[in-house]
Amino acid sequence: MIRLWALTSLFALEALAAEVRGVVVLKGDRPAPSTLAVTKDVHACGETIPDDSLIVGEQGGVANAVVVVRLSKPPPPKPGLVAIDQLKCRFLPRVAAVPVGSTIELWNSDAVLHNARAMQGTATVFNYPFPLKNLKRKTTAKKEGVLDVRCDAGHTWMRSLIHVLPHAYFAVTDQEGRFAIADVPEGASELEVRHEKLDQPLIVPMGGEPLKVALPLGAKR
Amino acid sequence: MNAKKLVAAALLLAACTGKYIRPTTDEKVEATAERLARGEYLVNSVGACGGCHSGREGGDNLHAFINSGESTEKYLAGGIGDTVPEMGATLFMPNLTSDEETGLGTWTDDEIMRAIRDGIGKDGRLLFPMMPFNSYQHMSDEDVRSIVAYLRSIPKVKTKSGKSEMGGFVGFLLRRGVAHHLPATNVPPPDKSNQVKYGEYVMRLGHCWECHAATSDGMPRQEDDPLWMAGGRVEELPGLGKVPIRNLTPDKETGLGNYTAEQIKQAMRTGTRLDGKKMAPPMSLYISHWSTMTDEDLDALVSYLQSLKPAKNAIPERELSEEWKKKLGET
Repeated sequence: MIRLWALTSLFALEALAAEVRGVVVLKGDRPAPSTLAVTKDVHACGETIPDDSLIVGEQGGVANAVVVVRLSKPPPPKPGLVAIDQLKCRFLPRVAAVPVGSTIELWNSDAVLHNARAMQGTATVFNYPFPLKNLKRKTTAKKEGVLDVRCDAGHTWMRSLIHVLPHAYFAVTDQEGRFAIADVPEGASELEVRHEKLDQPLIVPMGGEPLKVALPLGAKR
Repeated sequence: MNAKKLVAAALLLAACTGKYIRPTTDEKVEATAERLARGEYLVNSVGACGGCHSGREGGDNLHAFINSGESTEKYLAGGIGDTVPEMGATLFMPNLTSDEETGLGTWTDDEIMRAIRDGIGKDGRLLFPMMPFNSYQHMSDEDVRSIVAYLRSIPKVKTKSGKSEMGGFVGFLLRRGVAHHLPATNVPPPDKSNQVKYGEYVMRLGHCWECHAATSDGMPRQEDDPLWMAGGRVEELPGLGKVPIRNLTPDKETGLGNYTAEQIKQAMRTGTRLDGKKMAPPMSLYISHWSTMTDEDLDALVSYLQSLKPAKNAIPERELSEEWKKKLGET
């Protein structure tokens, strides 16, 4: 594990009725956007692709953080749907979250073969070839955890993380690090913040004034 | 085999190619949902048909074939062709879509089934044995029907026509059926209750033995050969370098004997060799298909490999070109 840098995140939480809003920001210098060299299929993928493992907006907001309300006894979730495209040799979105039982829909918009393999820990959850453009495949997120989706057709940089959660009280931060979670049940007092660069989720108390939290990030690959 | 025997064999073969060619029927395969799903799985996962038959995003020659990913717009549309002077051969990957001009659009269902399992073209020509019909002769009647149903369902793509040919004496022998077999008919479904036997079926449909049981000069070994599945052939593809085919028997020193079933399975799932290096062509051309096989099939395949008699056959390390070392992250 390589520790890249230490940073501080600032959560500005505002309790608006049962809605929790906030922003995840990076304290310190905003890293310059970087790219990854494409080693296969430059015709379809381009010479380089953006490194989207850490996206920081102009105001320091951190995109693709998953913010989850911590609940001891969550109500049974209503299954949802998440759609993952394979476009220009990237999984889009890079990060998604769904309640357990939801449908995961994958398709390929590229002119080149992809294959989407999802691992949950050491278990392969699904593994689909996409030899046809616009081919769609559906599966169900049956078990809580994080599905780490990779392409085994030589596009080693492709990655998507699908967080399968026990309830529907969560959000994924936008390009400016903002999030909003509606209809949070009474009694909830903490948020769990996840990011692929975090070694461990961060636990943040809800409510009150904007909150400052030191957030050390490691480089998880 | 000495020259006299070769000539005698050739003369004998010249007289009897007809036995490899059965007449076709007018059977029309019904495209049931089960057949379409099974056919899709067999084509895209176990058979890895796109590894050869899909056009390449980067061009239509052998270099693009090795270096580029499969084009989703030329899915199973073939059209890749090139000469290979070292083999004295012209290789061409046929179009499996139903395009009437360049594909299978005018073929009957049974003509396609005969091509898959027996290696016979629509016109009765003996197909070049790069097509693994010697593996597919073991394919059950229902599985070959499923493949036909699925192939009929994919988008038509117009590409190029062509055929593979080989010159010289080897080409002469091939045209006389030296690589062919008697027609496959009435092949029952595999017995899944015996995991090792079922794994052999998966191995045949995945055509593993076509590389891993080949001799150093590319000739197929048979199951009673002490070096069955023990590798040894060296692939030298344009720009690649030398890639020896690995020993898949459970020999502890030279094969897979020191690895668990789960480790072997994970290598197949990830395209990563057991020593941690990324797989190179030819394996890597197909692994993105094979990696998507079901747990049931991969477990059976590994069981079959582990049931083989260990064969000591030390395989030298590959010698990749600088270009390929870079591609595989070795520089």
